[in-house]
Amino acid sequence: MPLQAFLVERTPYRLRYLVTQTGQIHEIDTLVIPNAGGPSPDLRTDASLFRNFPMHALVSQTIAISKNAALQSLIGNGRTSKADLEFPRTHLYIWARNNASGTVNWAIDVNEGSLAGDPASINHAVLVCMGPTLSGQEAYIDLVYEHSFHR
Amino acid sequence: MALLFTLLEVTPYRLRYLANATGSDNNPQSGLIVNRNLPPGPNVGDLRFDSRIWRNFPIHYLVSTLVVNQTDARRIMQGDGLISTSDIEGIRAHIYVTSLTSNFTAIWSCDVNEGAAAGDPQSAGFSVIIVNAPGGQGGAQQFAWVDIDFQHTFDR
Repeated sequence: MPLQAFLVERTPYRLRYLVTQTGQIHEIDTLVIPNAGGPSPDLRTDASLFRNFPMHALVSQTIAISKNAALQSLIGNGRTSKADLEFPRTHLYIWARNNASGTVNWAIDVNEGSLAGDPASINHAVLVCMGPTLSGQEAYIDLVYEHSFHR
Repeated sequence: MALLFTLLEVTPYRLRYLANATGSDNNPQSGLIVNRNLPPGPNVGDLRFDSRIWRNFPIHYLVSTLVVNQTDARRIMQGDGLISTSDIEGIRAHIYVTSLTSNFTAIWSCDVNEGAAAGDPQSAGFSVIIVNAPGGQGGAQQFAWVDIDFQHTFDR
């Protein structure tokens, strides 16, 4: 798999991964960061150091097999009513650490594990990263827990 | 032509610059936000000098922290390598670059390094920020915000 992710930072409220394009490919590359309790990188495993904190509880949630369920559970998509204010959620960002002429941009999305192609993560939300095609390109992915609606 | 930087905002926990790729070159442009603690010339950002009005506050302390290499700089400026329980209290920032304009291919990016290693001997021993911008497409200028956010609590 040319795209590789490494956990580089974690707190009770944040997981940060460095994603690196290790190959030279000819189409947009996709990487799933799983949520199966397996070896790192894995959302539940990486959050489990702070097992009693909100990030671990959030990524451990069981969800229906649908992308909308994953988006709602993990990053709060669809939470537009006043009643939604207190629901836990994260925000998801991706930041390029280097660039090269002609590269395409990085992108980050959420899906349910089995729909994203990782059966071991069934009924859990996973991250889906799309990266450029040139070897050596790097980006940070931040998954940040919204610990207060003041943020 | 190097990238141009303008200080837009400074608080005890944040520095924000406007980066301007002038469009004079179609190739990707690269620039440094230096850390010399000297009055910068026009269109130059200097992390220590620009944060000096908050001398006893975290943002100034952070950019005044000595580093020996890029790994060190990434640890305190990007949180890179802080994965143990004891690391949650460690000093760090996160740097973000947000494009204000777009073109069809190249993207903005940012990294950090130790000053001398990044090619600025006057910043030796301190972290500097490396900003890479897309080239000007047909002479068009490109703009981005560069934010250095101090992580003042592990709640963030």
